[in-house]
Amino acid sequence: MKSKAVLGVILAAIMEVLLYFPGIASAGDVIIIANKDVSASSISAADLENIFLAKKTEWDNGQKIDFVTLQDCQTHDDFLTKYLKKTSAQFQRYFRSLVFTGKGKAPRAFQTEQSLVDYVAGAAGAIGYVSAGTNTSSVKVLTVN
Amino acid sequence: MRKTVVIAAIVGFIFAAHTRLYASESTVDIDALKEQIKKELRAERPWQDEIASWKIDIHGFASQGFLCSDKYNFLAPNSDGGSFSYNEIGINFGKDLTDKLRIGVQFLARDLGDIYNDEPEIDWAYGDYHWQDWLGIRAGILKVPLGLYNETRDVDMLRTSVLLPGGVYHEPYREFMMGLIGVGVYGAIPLGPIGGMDYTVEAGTINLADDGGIAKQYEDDVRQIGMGPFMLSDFEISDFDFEEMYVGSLVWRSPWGLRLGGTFNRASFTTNGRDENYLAGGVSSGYACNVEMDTTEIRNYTLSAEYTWEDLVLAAEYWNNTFWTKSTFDFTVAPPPVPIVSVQQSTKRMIEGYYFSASYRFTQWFELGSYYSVYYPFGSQSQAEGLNNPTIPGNKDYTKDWTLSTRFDFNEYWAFKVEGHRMNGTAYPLFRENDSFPDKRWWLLAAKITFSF
Repeated sequence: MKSKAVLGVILAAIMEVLLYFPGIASAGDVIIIANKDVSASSISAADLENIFLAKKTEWDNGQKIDFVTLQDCQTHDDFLTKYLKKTSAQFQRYFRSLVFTGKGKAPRAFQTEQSLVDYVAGAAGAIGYVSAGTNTSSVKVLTVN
Repeated sequence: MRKTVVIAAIVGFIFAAHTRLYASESTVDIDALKEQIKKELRAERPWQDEIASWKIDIHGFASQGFLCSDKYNFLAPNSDGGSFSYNEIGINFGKDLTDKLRIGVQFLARDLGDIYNDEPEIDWAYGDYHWQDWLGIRAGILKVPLGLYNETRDVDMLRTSVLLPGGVYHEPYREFMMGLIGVGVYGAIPLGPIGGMDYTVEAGTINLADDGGIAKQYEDDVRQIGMGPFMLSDFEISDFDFEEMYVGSLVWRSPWGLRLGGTFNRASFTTNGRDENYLAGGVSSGYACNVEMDTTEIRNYTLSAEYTWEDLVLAAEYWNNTFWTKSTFDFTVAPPPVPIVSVQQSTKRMIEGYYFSASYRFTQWFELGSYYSVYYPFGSQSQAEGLNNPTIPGNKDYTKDWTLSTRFDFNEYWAFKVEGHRMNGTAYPLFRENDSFPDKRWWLLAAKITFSF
């Protein structure tokens, strides 16, 4: 009985530790959305990374890109891990390094997926991401090559 | 009975009050009330709204550090007793004038021991015309790329450690690598499936203070290297005249978390100074020596690698600084009219350093890091050609620094860091702040709390 209790405590401790590690929790599907005036219907993973690192600032037709993000949440973490190979903390530090050297500014960050969708629907050249299942009827969904 | 009445009265009063409140709430137009509150708030916050209408981005940071060493004073003259003379405060303003044109300025005040003393200065200020992603131009006071982290070295919030590895980011040389007044071009070139390449090319000049960190380091170098039987043990710099600097940087960003980079810069400058009472054969001469040093060329280059895998970041960098100097020492050897004895000296000196580092973010609030940093002020082979430096103690020509750092993030604005440095060698601490260097092993504790927004 005592040994089972000890085993239970150890398992609980391991579970607790594992919960701290990102990537072990299952990543949900993230979809990329854009304003309907964006001419592209698909985007490469490399372009997506460059856009969200402020390295690509214009669509191929010269239209200015307005990229937006979610505030800290699972969808935000999933997007960063999958397409930018960064954690939320690394992403934040990356933009702070731009802000404090004058090389750029941090993107708009929304608290809810619906507010992000609403913004992308109304902003020319805008691109963002939400979790699968979010109502995206007001925006264009881009496929990632 | 009386008690029951009192209780009934209280209950009745509460009920009546609640009913009255509810009734009044139900008759209020909530939207109108909200509008009214907004109007009143606006009326009380005219300047905030005015600033918001300018669409100016404002960010800042403030940090307070603590340094404590067990044997030698380092960075602060009294660090062996613990020193709080270590802080940074910065605030910046940026604005997009058009889709392609942005202007900004950052003011910075620092304190580090007996230098800087929180006097505000312009850290960077420039106009940035982003013509294409692969070509933009900046003009003004620019950040200087050196290695992967020089441009952000004053922003404590961005790294795990308190002090950057001194093998590459030696603190006294900071002023050489900051605030280039000039022009630069930059760009990001996409490389498809293998990531992208970032480049920067800059040209300009730097204003060096004659009482800053680089002056302290130079004075210390001149004081310790000697020249035959002569030692300029009280040498003081009176003037730095920086001529020009050319900077180039290339960084490859792979899609697999690896960054490889190289930076190069070339500069020249002249330095004037004086020792009021030089030593001859270890004895005070009673006479002065004027010194003019013409550093005809100084070359800096770094090679960098950084690998990020989830919360693990590994980095390694190598720094090489080689400079050629023609010096003229005018020794006064007797009262006038005896002529001054002038001695010319040409030297080539190499400074080298490197480090390996690792950091891991365990939780949202805790990060652990460590680095091993090596610094050779006269090159890894002590190859100071043309220098005669018999007085340098054997452990003064290197420092090997093992550091263990912890970082605690209270929230996205506040962070606290504390780290321990196990030093081997005494190349870091200066002669002017220490009497002697009997032991090669010493400790340094550094802690810092930072706020940024």
